[in-house]
Amino acid sequence: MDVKTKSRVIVMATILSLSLLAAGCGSTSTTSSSSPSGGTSNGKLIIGYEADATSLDPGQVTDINSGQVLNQMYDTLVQYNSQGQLIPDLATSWSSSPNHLQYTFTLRKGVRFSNGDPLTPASVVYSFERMLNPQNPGYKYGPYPFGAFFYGDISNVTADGNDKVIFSLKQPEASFLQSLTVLTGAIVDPKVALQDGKTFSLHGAGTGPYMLESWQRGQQLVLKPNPYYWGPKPQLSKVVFVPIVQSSERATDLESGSVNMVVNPAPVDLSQIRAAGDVVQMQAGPHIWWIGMNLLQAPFSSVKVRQALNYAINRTAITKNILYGTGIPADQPLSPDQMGYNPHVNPYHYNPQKAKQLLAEAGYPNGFTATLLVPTSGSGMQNPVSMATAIQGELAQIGVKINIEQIDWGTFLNKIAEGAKAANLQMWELSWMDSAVDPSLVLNPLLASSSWPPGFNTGFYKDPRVDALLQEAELTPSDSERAKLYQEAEALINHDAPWIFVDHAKAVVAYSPSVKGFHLNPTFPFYINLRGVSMK
Amino acid sequence: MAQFLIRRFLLLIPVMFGVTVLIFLALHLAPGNPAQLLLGPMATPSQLHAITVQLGLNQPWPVQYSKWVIDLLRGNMGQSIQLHEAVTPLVFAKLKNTLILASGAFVLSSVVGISVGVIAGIKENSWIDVMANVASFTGLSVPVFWLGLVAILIFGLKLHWFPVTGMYALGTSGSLGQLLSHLVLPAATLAVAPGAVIAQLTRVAIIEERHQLYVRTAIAKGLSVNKAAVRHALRNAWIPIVTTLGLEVNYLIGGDVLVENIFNWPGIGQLLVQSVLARDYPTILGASVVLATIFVLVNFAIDAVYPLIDPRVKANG
Repeated sequence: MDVKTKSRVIVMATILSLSLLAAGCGSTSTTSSSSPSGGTSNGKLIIGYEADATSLDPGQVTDINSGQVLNQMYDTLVQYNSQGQLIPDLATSWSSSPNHLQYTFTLRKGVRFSNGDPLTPASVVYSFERMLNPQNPGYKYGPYPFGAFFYGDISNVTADGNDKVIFSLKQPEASFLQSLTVLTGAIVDPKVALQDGKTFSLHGAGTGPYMLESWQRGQQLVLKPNPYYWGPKPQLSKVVFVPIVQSSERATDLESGSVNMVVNPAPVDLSQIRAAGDVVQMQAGPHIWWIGMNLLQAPFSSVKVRQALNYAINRTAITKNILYGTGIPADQPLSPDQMGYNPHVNPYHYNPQKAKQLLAEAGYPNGFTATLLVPTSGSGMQNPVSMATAIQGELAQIGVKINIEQIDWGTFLNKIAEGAKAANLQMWELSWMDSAVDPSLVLNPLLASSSWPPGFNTGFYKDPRVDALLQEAELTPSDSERAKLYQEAEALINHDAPWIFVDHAKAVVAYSPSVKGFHLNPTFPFYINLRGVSMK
Repeated sequence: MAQFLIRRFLLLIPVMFGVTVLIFLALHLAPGNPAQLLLGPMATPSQLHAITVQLGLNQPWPVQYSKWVIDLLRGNMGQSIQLHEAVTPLVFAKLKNTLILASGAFVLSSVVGISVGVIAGIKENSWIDVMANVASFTGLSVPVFWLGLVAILIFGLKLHWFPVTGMYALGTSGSLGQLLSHLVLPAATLAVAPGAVIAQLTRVAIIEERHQLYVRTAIAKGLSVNKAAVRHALRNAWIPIVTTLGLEVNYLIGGDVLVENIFNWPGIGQLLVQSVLARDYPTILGASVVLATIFVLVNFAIDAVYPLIDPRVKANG
């Protein structure tokens, strides 16, 4: 080979590289600034969130990140206000039959989807029937994972005239209205959904203040105002959602000005964010983080052992030092703002002496050894490994030796779904976020004996008094009566200590001072709501 | 020569077959269930079963593998379980982004590495050579994530010279200028280790050639040391350098996962990591096959180029 050929090889390699570079440049025109501090005002809000949305079809979504986007694109029939009361959204009024088996909703007049299609009772019927009825033409475009969980008690949904919809239930369900507030029950445009079929998940079509402009997977998802929005005119010209997976990077990007708002920055970065002049909002919500135990096996079958473990945990230290204030100590499954929260139960204040005494009374004066299953990450799991390590250290103080077994979230979910017995589990971390806010959607699936595996009561808790209270509350229409029943149940659960209660997570959103009018909804703060938000 | 290339090319078929079988087996032997992750913790057993059947995950793996391979040969990599989107366009869109980053790093590491290596080789044992050695050993030793974070801190947050996230200014459709400004930090971070390898290798090659008789003869005939090194020594030193450059391409494409995650660069590495966490089998398989294809093709190209540079390989090949 001569010199020319050799040189040609090198030149070709370089040209190839440069051509790839040029080929990747995509479209060329833009008038926007390319400065590093690209976050501009001009009505454009750039939000860094934890991961890219997975789907824009609210029926398909199970993750909180997709919910951040969908909450801006869709409306539900009813909604919560900041005091936790149900208020009209797409339905202006509703009533139930005396036997509470039928609910009739009157739809808001003049509502249009983002392409101009009118909202009709047929839209509502389709939105629910496609999740529940295999005969519905939209059913095949599923799966709709939460459909049966939230709406399994619906027998059918029918249109009544031009503005009414009737939901018929198989049995009375006191939390039915509350379950309509979750995004799974958001109303979609049936015309677009059927026309797009499987690809509806890439575009979506709702009645919310914003609609999709473009979506580059993993890069950015851009929303623009819905010109037909029925409520106050959206004030942002664009909303850009940017997936920034590393929590520390979200803080960096906010500081650099690349984004205007970030969801759940790393707790350790919060003081730095505040010092840089950015705003941090935090709000505890309907969430619980606990350590489950296999109640069918010793030593966890002993209530004294379980109480001892609860006394051995310094929740205040964990929420302060591990979570940097992004959680509040928990002593029961329901969080303080939920119906049924009981403020008068044993708070299990940190008391290692009491813990040792209870262990001795239970027949374990020298403690015992157990394995704790810990996911390395996971939705709602906050800082699972660090929290496990702290708890391991605290339990060692009372002689309980914990072996931590770390596994990834996917494998972890599989083991938990099998139940403690089948998966041979002793202790495990877990969390639950109650997007419908109603206590029944925490206590019934997680602690009723009817939810033993393959249900979600993974640790096999059973107390007939709790079962009876939960069942009675489900059939009680009055909220105040229900609250009392749940408070009674909470007291029993607190005493039985089927879990080591650890904390209720806070939603954390940090943003630059140029963002105006942003508030976390105290009832369900985990989804951001951009209605009324503008840029200075 | 043609026979040599054909033989090497035909070898790619069993290699690719082995690669796909290994990836497929590894995925299906790993714990975790995509249906469980897709449906979330609130999934009921009947829902899980329905989705498992719908995704075809209840079938024996040879059946699943055969179907997947047949679809793959038709250019169809299936539907992403998690992203509800066809895998083929998704993977190629991400690959394009990875190639942009890898190309930037390739150019940077080659130009800087060769230049530093040549200078250090010419100035053997001088303070320049020592400095170049220290710099390249440091470049090889420093972890890429640390380098990336330091680059973000200094050039992004303190000096505000370059943006620290993504490929374009957010909320825009992107321009060449934006792309280049976003490319600088991740490409430079990615280029450090291969640049150091290339510099070291070039230096050694130059030094070896400089001591060859033909170079000394050229110098004795009156050519300056520098000219002799560049005109004669560098010419022969290209053989190992080109081979290394080819290997670096593989490193850059496969090894940019960390850099993509640090700088939020939306490439195939990031897609692969997220797909693995979600047990999104079709996307993992699609991305892995594309990467594996690139690796074997680059290796094939190296094999093809090598005899062009060194005819002795051809004779033995």
